[in-house]
Amino acid sequence: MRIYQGVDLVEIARLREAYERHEAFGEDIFTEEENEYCRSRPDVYSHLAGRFAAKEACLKAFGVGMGGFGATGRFGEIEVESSPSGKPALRLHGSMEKMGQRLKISQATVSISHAGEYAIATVILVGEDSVEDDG
Amino acid sequence: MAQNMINDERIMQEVIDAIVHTTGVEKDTITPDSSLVEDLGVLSLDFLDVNFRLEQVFGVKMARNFVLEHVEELFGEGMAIDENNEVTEKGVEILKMRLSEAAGDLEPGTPMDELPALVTPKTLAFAVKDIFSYLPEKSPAGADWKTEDGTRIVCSQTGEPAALPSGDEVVQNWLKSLQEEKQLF
Repeated sequence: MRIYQGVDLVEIARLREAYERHEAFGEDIFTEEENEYCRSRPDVYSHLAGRFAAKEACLKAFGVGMGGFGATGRFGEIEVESSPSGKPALRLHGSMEKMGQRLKISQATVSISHAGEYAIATVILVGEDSVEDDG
Repeated sequence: MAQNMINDERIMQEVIDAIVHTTGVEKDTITPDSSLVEDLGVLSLDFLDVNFRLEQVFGVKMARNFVLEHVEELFGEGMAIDENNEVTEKGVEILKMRLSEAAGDLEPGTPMDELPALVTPKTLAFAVKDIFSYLPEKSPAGADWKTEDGTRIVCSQTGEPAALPSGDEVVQNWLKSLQEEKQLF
């Protein structure tokens, strides 16, 4: 078994600024369901920032780091689903799903929290141990 | 030439302005070869903001997927990125061709999370310029092009924005041409 972990902290106001400035930001970074869920909440931007942090934490866990330049699409391929109780779960699509297969990921967990000006998320991925171990 | 309607200096100036407005970094500290991550301390959200700002300024759609992911999609998994998420020899070859000197020291086995450090104002300006290189000589109305605000290309007759390929289409076209020419994969 091999464990991959990622964490990310997001300034909620900074996320709001980018989200409101560029229409494409909301459309490309978040899925329709994520936008819909967050917009149904009273504190929309805390939830969007939490989901953004989860996506970034997932990228870090995968070892691809920042999803910015030329890789904007990765954010939209990491979806944070919400159960009726509000517990989040990760669903991967497209190239991120392929990356999960490449690293033989069998389980993924995500935890999100927000307070005051910040949102934070951690992601843990569990992979099979057949991938070469670099020690 | 239609492709040179927005000169290189203007593109670079807009790239640097986008970085300044997004990050608050002092303009004087930015050079065309500054690493956005290592030299300017740009964060992921800033990367995205810069990207979307450039789209608004130039009226283009920047690439959503990284060049190595296009290699994987076009030529098969494992061609550019190995099972440990490290860049393969072919991946390095592609990046050196695509990013020129910014990828000069790159070695096979480099972890994927080190690649954002290769992004510089020059590589961003190149990405914009590469999209503009697809501008036809004439608009669909048969008229010349003109610029609005010096950065957005529109038809001089109808005012319609130029329909340019997305950054992803441009990268895929480049990879397909490269494959035809060099048979790398």
